[in-house]
Amino acid sequence: VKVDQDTAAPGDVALVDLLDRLLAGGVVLMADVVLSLADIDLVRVHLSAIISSVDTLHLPESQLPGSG
Amino acid sequence: MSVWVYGVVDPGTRLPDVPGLDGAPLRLVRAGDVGAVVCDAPAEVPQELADLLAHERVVEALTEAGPVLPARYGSRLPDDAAVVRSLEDGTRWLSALDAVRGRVELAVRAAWRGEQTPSTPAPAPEETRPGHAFLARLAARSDVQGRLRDRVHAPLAELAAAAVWREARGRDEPGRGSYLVDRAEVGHVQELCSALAEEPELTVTCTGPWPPYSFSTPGGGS
Repeated sequence: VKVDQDTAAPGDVALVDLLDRLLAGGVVLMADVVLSLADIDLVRVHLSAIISSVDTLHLPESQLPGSG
Repeated sequence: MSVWVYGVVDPGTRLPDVPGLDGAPLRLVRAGDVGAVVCDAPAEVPQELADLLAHERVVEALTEAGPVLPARYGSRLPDDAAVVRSLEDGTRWLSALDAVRGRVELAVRAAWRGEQTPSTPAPAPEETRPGHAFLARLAARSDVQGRLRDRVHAPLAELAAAAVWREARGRDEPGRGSYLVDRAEVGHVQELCSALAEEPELTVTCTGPWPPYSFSTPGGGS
């Protein structure tokens, strides 16, 4: 997930930082059993659509844990 | 029904009063020295932003209650017994939990602003051998990346218990740092980021505190 440093508002960066961590960080318990990679790819595709229009979402700050 | 995993915690963790996915109640599955917070998993991995934020709210509430090794979003196991099996190596999990105890993660993005990459060596115009020109460009770029690392990551890492830096993969991407810091150090890291962001040739953002997503794998830096 990319972010444009100069145009992104702080809330957008927080969202992208969070998504980076939720989807690419974190511990994977028994990966062979747990994760269908196809599932995760679906989430990624879906979210990239959200990210590209994130400035139109007008998420309240309170909905963004960790922002600020 | 399969179970949805939020993270690995101390076995005595008090469950927060926050609903799991689709309102499913949170449960603590104990396995010796550690435990995992789970709820019944929906048939498919929920994909709405609201679902991811709801998941994050549970993990953040757990972070308030004690140390957490957050699971990657979408982690599911077949049943509680599988959760217990995956936590069998209790010592390993416990030392990973101890490493994040009382600490949070801060996320930093940094890049040289515009073309102001200081003292970038100009490509030698007389260089006509294509292979050498390519290598020279590569070296110059790696040098620019290296100086970003020295300027931003190195001082931040000194304030952190653990740190990870990922260099930009492309020209328009920032370098990305993750810092595991004592709660008392959060303000210092944020102040340092603000000071770096004041420098005209740098763009720097700092978000968090986050649960320690980049420091949750036992025995691994990230």
